[in-house]
Amino acid sequence: MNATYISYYILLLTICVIGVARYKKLTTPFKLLTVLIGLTLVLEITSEVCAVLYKNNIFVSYVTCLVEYTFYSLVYYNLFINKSIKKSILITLVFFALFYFINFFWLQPYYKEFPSNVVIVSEITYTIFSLLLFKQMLLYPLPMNITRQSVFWYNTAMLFFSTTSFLNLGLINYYVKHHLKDSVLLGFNFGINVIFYVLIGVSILINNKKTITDNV
Amino acid sequence: MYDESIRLLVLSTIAFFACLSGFIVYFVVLYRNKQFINKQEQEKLQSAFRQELLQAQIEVQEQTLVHISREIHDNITQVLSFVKLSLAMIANADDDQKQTKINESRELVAQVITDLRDLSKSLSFEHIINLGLFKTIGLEVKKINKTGIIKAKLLTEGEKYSLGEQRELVLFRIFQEALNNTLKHSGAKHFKISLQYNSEMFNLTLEDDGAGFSPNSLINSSGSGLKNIENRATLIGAVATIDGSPGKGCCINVTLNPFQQRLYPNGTTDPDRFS
Repeated sequence: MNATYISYYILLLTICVIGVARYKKLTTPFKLLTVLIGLTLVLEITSEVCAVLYKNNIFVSYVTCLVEYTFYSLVYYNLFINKSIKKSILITLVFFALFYFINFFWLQPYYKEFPSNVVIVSEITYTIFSLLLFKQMLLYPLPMNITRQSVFWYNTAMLFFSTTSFLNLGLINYYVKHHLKDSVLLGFNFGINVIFYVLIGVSILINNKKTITDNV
Repeated sequence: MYDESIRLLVLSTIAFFACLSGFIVYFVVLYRNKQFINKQEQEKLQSAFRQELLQAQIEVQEQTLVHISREIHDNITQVLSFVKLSLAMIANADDDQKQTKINESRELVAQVITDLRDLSKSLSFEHIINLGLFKTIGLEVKKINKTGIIKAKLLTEGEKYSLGEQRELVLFRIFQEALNNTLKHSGAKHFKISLQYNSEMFNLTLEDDGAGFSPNSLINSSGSGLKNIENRATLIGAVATIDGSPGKGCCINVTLNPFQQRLYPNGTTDPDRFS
């Protein structure tokens, strides 16, 4: 386990501790987000352990995808006010579960292939959700500085991560095709993750249900 | 090879992040503009609400003064004049008649005192605040029935709760406006007032069995009392629907969510947004 991983786990742990310390002050979506960060930390460590012990952590990746999609969907479900969007989120959750199991057993079997199909579908959905949430923010602006709104930081993190994932996947394909050195890509990946979790951390840190400006 | 991978990564990353940052900056600028427009609209709304409230208070006072002057002229002055005449006639009456006249005069003076006490209660719009909407309307109904011009009936449903001083004042003005319209223009014999207090909705219904009106007349008459009712309802976050057709009377319904729009008149944000 190198320093990069350790610093990544420390970052996740720090955000988780902040979330737990402020748990009572958080609104429902940010409580869910805190739980998700805790689960992510556990799954990341499990994944690392599996990689070392069994040289295969695809199954853990599958579990991570399902957990993340479920939680992020629920977070968005709580953030949206439009009833039809809320309903759509629940419907997409059902379709996602269906697609997930098809992929799990047939398209990219859990014992040999990384669930890139599931990741792509998830990231597309997150991008749509984040754009819709930005639209909602524009429709109902709050009388407070935008930088002090937890929803803004959370949504920026989601848009950043989900759109960067496409760039990331594109670069991975290019690097593999042209046999380029992947250490640069790993560093890039690490950077994206750090920025994403720092933004999530900021959103958890400033979220407060007593403030009327926190959207839920 | 390594340099090439670095260059590729840097270029694509810069291009990508430039787009993403551009989007976020654009969003923030748009958001701030929206906040500014919203703030302006809210201030405008607050100012309009304050003006309307002041107007409603003045109108209630005017109505009260008209009512007091009419009461003094038609009732108190008449009764006291009768008492004066009655007492003047005592000098020529025998003992039995004297006692009868004194008793009559005493009863009449007692009646005048009661009437004056009732009048003092309605000297300002503050009695709406003290008594609440239901009781204030109840008093008005009693007054109307006493005149015999029209038969008014007050009905209530559900457990009563306060809607807030300002909103109750505006609702009372709506009631007065409707009553005035009925008395002046409809020729109705009956006037029914219903107050429905549900947990999520308050309803004020004012119905008469008068001449009614053509729906077109409501659209064309911008300054009419019925238009005023609609405008006032909007200002307190309520919705007023006015139904009527020639010969079938008029029905005014004011619906208001007591909890959803409680903050609205104070100019704070609409709490429904993120429920």
